[in-house]
Amino acid sequence: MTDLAALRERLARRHGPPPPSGRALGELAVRIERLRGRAMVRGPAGRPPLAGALAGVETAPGLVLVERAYPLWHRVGRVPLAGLPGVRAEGFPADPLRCLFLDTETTGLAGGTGTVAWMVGLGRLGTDAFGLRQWVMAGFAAEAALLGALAAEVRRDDVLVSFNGKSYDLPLLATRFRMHGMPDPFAGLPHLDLRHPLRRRHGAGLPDGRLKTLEEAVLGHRRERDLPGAEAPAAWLAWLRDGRVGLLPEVARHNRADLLAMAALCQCLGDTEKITPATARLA
Amino acid sequence: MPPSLQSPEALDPGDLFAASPYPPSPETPADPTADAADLAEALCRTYGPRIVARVDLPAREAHWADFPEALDPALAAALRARGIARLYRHQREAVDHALAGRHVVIATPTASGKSLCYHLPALQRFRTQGKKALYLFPTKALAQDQVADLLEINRAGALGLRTCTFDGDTPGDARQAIRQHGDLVVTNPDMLHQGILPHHTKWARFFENLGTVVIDELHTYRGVFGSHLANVLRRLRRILRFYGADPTYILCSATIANPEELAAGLIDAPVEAVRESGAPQGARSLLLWNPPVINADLGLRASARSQTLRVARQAVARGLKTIVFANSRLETEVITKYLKDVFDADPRRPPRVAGYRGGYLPTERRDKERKLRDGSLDCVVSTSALELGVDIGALDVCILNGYPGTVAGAWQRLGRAGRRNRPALGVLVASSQLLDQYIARHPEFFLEASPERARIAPDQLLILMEHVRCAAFELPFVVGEKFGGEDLPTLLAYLEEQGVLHREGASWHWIADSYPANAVNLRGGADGNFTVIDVTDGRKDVIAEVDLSSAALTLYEGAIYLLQAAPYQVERLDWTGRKAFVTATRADYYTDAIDYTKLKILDDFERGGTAEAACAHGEVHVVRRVAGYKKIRFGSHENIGYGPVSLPDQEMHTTAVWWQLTEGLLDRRFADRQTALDGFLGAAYALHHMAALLSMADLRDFGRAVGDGSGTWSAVTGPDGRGSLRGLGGQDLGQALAAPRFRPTVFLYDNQPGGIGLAAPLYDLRGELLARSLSLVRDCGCREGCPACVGPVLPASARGGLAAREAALAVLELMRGAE
Repeated sequence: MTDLAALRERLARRHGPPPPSGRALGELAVRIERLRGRAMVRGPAGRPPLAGALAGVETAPGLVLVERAYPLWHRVGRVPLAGLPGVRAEGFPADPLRCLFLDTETTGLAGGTGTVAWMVGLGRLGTDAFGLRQWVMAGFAAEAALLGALAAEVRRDDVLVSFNGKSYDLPLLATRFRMHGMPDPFAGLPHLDLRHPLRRRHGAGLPDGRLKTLEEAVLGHRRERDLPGAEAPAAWLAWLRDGRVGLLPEVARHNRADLLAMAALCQCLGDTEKITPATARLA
Repeated sequence: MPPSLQSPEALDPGDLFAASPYPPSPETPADPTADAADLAEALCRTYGPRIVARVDLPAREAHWADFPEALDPALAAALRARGIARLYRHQREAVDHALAGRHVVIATPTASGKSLCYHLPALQRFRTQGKKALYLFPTKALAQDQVADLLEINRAGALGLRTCTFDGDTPGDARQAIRQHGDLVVTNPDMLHQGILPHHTKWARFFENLGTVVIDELHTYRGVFGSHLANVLRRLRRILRFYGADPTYILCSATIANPEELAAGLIDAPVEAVRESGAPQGARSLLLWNPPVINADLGLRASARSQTLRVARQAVARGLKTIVFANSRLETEVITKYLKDVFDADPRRPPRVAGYRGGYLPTERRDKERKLRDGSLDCVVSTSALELGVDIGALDVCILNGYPGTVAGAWQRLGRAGRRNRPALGVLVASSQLLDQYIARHPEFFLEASPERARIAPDQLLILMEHVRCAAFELPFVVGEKFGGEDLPTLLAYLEEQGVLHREGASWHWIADSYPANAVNLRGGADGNFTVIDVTDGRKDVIAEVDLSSAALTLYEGAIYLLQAAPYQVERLDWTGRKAFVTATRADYYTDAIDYTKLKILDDFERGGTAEAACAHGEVHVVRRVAGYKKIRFGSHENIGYGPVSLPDQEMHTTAVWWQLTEGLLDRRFADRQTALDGFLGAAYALHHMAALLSMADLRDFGRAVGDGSGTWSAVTGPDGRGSLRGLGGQDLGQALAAPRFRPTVFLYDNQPGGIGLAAPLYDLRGELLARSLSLVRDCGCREGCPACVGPVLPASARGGLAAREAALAVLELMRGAE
């Protein structure tokens, strides 16, 4: 029973004494504990500034914007970003400046209304650079600002480019916009989801169709020290719960790497270029 | 071998006929003029003394009302095209309430045209305001039946209503279209809970325009299921508030005592009630049938089954469409087998008799329902599975093999027989069980009693917690919000401690990477069903499904599992994989599990009585173990052997009421402690049954046990008819009888994990409960004890000492000191 007593105490410390009207806090917790489970420990609070840790700026309370620009000669493996204007592929716009690359980091894969996109990265080709903007929420309160920032970024003639965004990122963002009673700025935009065309073209012989696998096989690019995407939820959780910046910069880097890989992989969609895993590796 | 005490029916001569091979039944040509009224007369002539009560309900005329004036002309035309030119009075009443925006519950008998009471307002609102509707049915099968009507009205009037069923079978590509364009969505509580609410943003258009919510078969939402549904509806309302919708609720129920209360409790708002049916009804007779006494000393009567078979054979032979309800799956199978031996002996002819119960596969059930509707089956033997509104057409005769345990259940089943213009007959055959005999002795109790109240406990802490989790996933909670009757901030703080919520400022957000609705099973028992797989001759066919609670009692290795009266033997049980592998067998016996229950008191909430005789209610820990099984021969009911069972223990925390007496008190009153123990077992039996009756609950809603309160021993009736002290594995702990401390305790516990709120009200009734149990045992017509008072017993001559009945009386009297 000592655990329960400790839980009761902890609960009482955090939220003050039990309300006079309702049932005693401790008693309820004890009843629940006995009926089913055990408690988890929560850490101390205390938060370093997130913007600094991510080398970004706070554009609204709790919302951090991280901006990066990559010169067009930047290569992902053997493919330079500069090749984007030459891409001729189904779904890819004649004017590559219309492409809006999108990738999210979320609180999990469960789907439904209980999953949040806490980091959203957008990429856009400029005349002299490939620009990335990432918005990161320091807490749930910043979600409306994040969604607002996304909406401000979208142009009417944009073409979305994503990897698996049709079944994952876009429905999730649509849910978030709906939860905040905001119109979904992405709804109705043309959307090139690279996952299936890349898989059709290059998937044969690959162990799976993940972005990282294609990136290695098709672009010949192996990421160094890349944080697996699956660890992103835990990284944000650690920040929320304990105020630890921890792996958040790694997640941001991973998100940028995904966006760059998408931009490069667009050049491997068309029929004119014959790139096989073998030639990619040679290069 | 002495007759098995657990089966007093063993001596029943009425069963003997079933053991002998039958001559093929004479093909009695069905007399088209013979009806159920003729059968009633014939039965009364032949079996007069067995019929303890007869009630004749005259045919009832229809009471009509016109369509509401504001009814959409196209809708009115569609109804006329379907042959509906006016409404029954109760339909009009319900429609008026609903169209005025008042929530309404309709509680009229089976087949009174309830579905029109909700189709009409839903269609009217769709036609005049473009409003959408949500229909909830407890099962998929019911949904299909009810919607068929609606579709025909819609088609007849080209009303343009897009009706969609959204359930586990709905293909993925159809789902988006339903969410976007469905005008009327038909689903079940489970799907609403797991598939719709957690994805409410995808349903935003539907919810924003929702005008009508229909909840049919309301009476099924009692106990755990009802408590879960109340919470699912709390979540629905929370989401509807988010979308700014405020629909009207229309609820339909079979006869229960408190439809308004149940409906209002489920939707948390006042509800109008419509209870008078305006539908016509053919004349109906009801016979209460008590099997003849065959051993006065033991209080033994012929088995209910023998009488049921007798009536069923006569009914089917007369060409009357007949349904037999049995109270267990096993009994269903046994009766099916006997009737098939009579009527389906010729394999070249299509079967006339079929069994129907929960474990059959859906396709098989649909097939039987169809055959019943089109008349190609003459007789169906069913568990409560057919008690609900599954459309099987109208039947002539309904036989209840034993009282189903509740008044509402009995009427619901009896309602299965009855047509608008033909007489119908219901026969309730009393078994030797206490409640059955109580009703046979006090027919007025059954005939005049108000039907049971359906109880729910939506604030049961475990259930409430699960739904607070789900609700937090759906929308963040904010300070000041209410959800249920417990202190919400405390629950949220608890979930925060558990790491699934994160509090930020004035709101709590879901933070875990999980989908909480998937972990909550609305029908209790989160562990899923067992599949039964036939592996005979290398086959691998799934032949049935069994829920977790019955799996331990029916699927242990060695068990004979009966399906459509064909015996299968369980070869292997994969408990964790939830699979039982069976092979077809020719065994001439069936099996019956032997289980032991151990209780430990954790906490008493309230305590009354004296130091020597106490009564209390509080929290207990229950462990149940199936230790073995008996093999019982078909026909003769001889016990022909035992087998061991090794299964995980079933454990739960729940609430209970208990009575405890001290050794001092008992030693002064009884010559020996063995007799006292026998008295406890008898008293527990009587208390258990009267508790179910007084709480207006099902007998199975309570568990009963006699133990010492600290989980050391529990008492069971041994093969010699005397109480014996056992450990959980069945080991003999008889030495505890002589221990210095000896505190036998009768427990009546709430049979749901966490308790569903039965114990506290029972504690408040403890005075009346003891008084009734005392008079029941004292006034019983038997000599030494019988299944109608203290349970089946051997005569005192075979036991030595005090008769079981006197011992139980003495214990009950001592308990009265605890009031």
